[in-house]
Amino acid sequence: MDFLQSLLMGFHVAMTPENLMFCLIGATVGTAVGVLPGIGPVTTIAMLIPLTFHMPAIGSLIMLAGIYYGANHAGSTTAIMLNMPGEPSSVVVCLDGYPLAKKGRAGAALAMSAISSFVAGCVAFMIVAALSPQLSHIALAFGPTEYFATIVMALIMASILTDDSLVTTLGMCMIGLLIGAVGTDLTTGDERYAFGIPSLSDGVNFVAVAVGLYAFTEIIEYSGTTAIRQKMSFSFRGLIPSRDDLTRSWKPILRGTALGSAFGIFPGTGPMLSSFVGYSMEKRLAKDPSRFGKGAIEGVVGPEAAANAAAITHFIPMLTLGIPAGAAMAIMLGALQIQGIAPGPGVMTDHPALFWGLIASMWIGNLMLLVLNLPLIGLWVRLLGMPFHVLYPPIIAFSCIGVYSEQNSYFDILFAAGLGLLGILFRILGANPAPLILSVVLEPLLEQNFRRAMIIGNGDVSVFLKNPISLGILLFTAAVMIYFKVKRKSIIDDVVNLDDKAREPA
Amino acid sequence: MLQIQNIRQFWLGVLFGVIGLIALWELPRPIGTLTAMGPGYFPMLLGIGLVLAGAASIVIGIRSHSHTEVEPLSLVPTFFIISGIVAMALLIDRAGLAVSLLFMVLGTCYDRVLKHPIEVAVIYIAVLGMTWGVFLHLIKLPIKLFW
Amino acid sequence: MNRKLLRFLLAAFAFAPAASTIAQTTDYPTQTVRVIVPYAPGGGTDITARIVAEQLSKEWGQSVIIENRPGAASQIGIDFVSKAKPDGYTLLWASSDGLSILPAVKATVPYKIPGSFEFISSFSSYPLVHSVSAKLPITNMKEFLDYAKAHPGQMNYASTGPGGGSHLQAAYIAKELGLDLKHVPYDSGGPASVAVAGGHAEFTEQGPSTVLPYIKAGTLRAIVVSGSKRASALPDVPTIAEAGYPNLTSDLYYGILAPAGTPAAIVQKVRDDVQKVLKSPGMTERLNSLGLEPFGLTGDEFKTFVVNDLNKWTKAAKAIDFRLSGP
Repeated sequence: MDFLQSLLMGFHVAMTPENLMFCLIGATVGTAVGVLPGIGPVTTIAMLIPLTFHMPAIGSLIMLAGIYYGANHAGSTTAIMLNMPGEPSSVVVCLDGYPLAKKGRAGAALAMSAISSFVAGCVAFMIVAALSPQLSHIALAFGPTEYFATIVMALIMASILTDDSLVTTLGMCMIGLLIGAVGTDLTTGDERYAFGIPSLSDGVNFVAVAVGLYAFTEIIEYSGTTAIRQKMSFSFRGLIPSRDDLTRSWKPILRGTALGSAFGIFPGTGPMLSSFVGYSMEKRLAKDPSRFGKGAIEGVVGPEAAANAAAITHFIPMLTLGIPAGAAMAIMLGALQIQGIAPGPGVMTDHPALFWGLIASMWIGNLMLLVLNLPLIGLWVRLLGMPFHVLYPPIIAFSCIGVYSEQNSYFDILFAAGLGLLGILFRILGANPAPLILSVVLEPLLEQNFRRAMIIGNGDVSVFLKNPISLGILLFTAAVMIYFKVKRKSIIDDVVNLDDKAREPA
Repeated sequence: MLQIQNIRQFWLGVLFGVIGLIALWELPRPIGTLTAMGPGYFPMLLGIGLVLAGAASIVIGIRSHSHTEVEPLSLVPTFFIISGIVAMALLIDRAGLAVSLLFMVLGTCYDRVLKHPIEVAVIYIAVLGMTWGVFLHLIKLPIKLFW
Repeated sequence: MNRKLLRFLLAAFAFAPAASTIAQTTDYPTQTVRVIVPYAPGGGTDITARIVAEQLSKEWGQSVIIENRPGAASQIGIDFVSKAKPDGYTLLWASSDGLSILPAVKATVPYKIPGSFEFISSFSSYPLVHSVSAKLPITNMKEFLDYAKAHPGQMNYASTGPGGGSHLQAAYIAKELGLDLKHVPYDSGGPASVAVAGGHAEFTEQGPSTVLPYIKAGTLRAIVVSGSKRASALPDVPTIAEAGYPNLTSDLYYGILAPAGTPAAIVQKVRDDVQKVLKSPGMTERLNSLGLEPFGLTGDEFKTFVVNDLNKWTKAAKAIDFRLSGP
């Protein structure tokens, strides 16, 4: 069979000692960096790209891919242990992971999240391998109208998960979109809301927004407390998941994997949205939704599996179409071209060894992550035995320098500090910043596609309802929304102030 | 006497409204039309949307029956930690990593500097060593160690 | 803390500005060199930049990295370099779009041609490939004309941004042939080509290296090329002059520049090495396979060419009454 032969060739390429080493380095570095809040996969890949110049094409891609999914996975570690998402996709893992940690079950939560990542990775890997050859024309069906509908879906889906009223969510989305609009208008080249500040004329630094709203806000909130240990009692007995954890988890893992694999394929959606929708789906399907936000293991493994599956199927649009599906993928694309390979439909036919080698290395990398992460969990647990005030100067230092390094701009640190203040304000007012941060990322896509859709549709706003694909997406979104609002009103009432409950000392 | 019940929703509404008005006040020009949008068109939609969301939020806040309270916040740590970060931002180009980190650590460890000066010094040296090793030595970021 | 730190301290104290300037020019490059590409990855500008960066990297033993800063028909990235520190560590890889077309049609651009730059070297020339979605029943210029006439106001073209070559060329065609076409701006050639390949817009004008993968995959169809000669990678596609419209002929170029004020010795070194790359064995074939031709003007020659080209486009824009107002 052609497909199996190609896959075998892929493993042959990926299993050379040299490539195994690159895979190991990538997964290790990615995990180490992903654990640090404020430094996500995008920053890491961007920082390490210079290292790959002197490496063979396949080796450098394998290493960067390892960093990417390693960081994706490790972000959950800090989410569970510190209530600090390592990067955006692990925001939701905080919701139930951290309460679990407070119950002394951090070890089990981490182990289950590692296992769910691995399972999701394996399945998504099979999907990438099997579907890539057929997928390019499906993604081609996405034009401005479909993109716009998808992004609207992304924003509204994210709002389902938050505990806020619809008005609050919409307001937070619009603030995020405004922040995303800062800088130069990508279409006309005019500056917007830059106030003469050079580093704003290029648009806001996303890392600065994330660090300000999450890392800084969190640290300020905790600064009064002396040690995390007082908030959570860790013990190693909890490291091994219970039988109950496993029986509760296997279905959410599979559901999350299916959802994430599907979402990852669409450009613009990705690990973050998948994890958000994965969470809301689990909550929706749960027999006892009130457990969510208080340490439900399903709330950890579902989104985790969805995020990791999406992180891997994300490679499909990039490798087959050359469309980077997110910021990290855009940088990966750059790495591909540094090696003189033009992404697009030609990659699979012109460079089969690279394509299948990379795909095979994803599976090997996931296996490595499993082997690497479980023994290291003890290390992370021990790290948290440290008093909090010892922990946060290095966290702030790494976050600040990470923010600075994006553009070598001190203003970005100031900007992050300002957003820290805004984040404090939101926390006081009990508004969840997640829809805001998603909006910042999606703004250029949303605005440009809205613009194009209006040009093509002659200013007819109803094009979004006339186009079958976008109508389908919007109807689906509305259905989910109505279902959730009407049938589960009690859940919303229950989730109100979920964040605050999660933060109360156990 | 008007008693605002849902005080969070009310103040969020004020915040939305203010941000919306700033966006409209500073609106980039030209605005353009629906089929030929200028740089200001989309921000205009957002500004109007925010003002509307703000107004709705204020009305809900006043008329709501569910009572909320504003989370208490200690101003002191907010002030010192943000000051530490701001000091680091302002100094990193001019004074280098060592000095800017010193101010950051002093700000974030404000409550322990006087009580446990040696501990803070150890934290400072450890943080400096770590950041120097990772960012300057390993990744070779263009940051000076000293001025 | 070791010898390196000690050296750092010594260097900090033994601060000698004159000595360091000399050292800079002879040792260049002593650190990573950034080449700004004002388009997203995947387009011709990006691909050629990467070919050269790879070679320069080997030549210099220093990393030469590509940084993509797309937006507004390459204005954003070009503006970024014009304001960068002129120390030779930030270079620009640009095309005619931002250098001689955008300044011709836009009331104000934030940089000056030629004043904001040191002209290092041009690298290759290329035509725009007039490519239609393969879903349309169009195989030649006449069919294109008939189809567009039959569908007034329904033909959309995807461009690399308002005011770029890909916009102006299509506007030029619309004006000369009396067609009613609509402009859908993208920020780079890659996404614009994907949109046409997917049938969301009807045609696009792009460099051959951008559209070749889609033409090979059968999702785009090349109708004519805008160059004065046929593109070597598309030998069967006629030039626009051969199709009967000689006054729509246009040749574009890629080249490398530095911010004004970059030391002459550095500019000369980069120039020599870029020329070396261009003349290296196999380079002509590699460029040809991408539909490009070697085109190695240096220094003042390159500068004069750009200025003349800018004047030519200004006249062309005036002739069709093309002004950039709104997108």
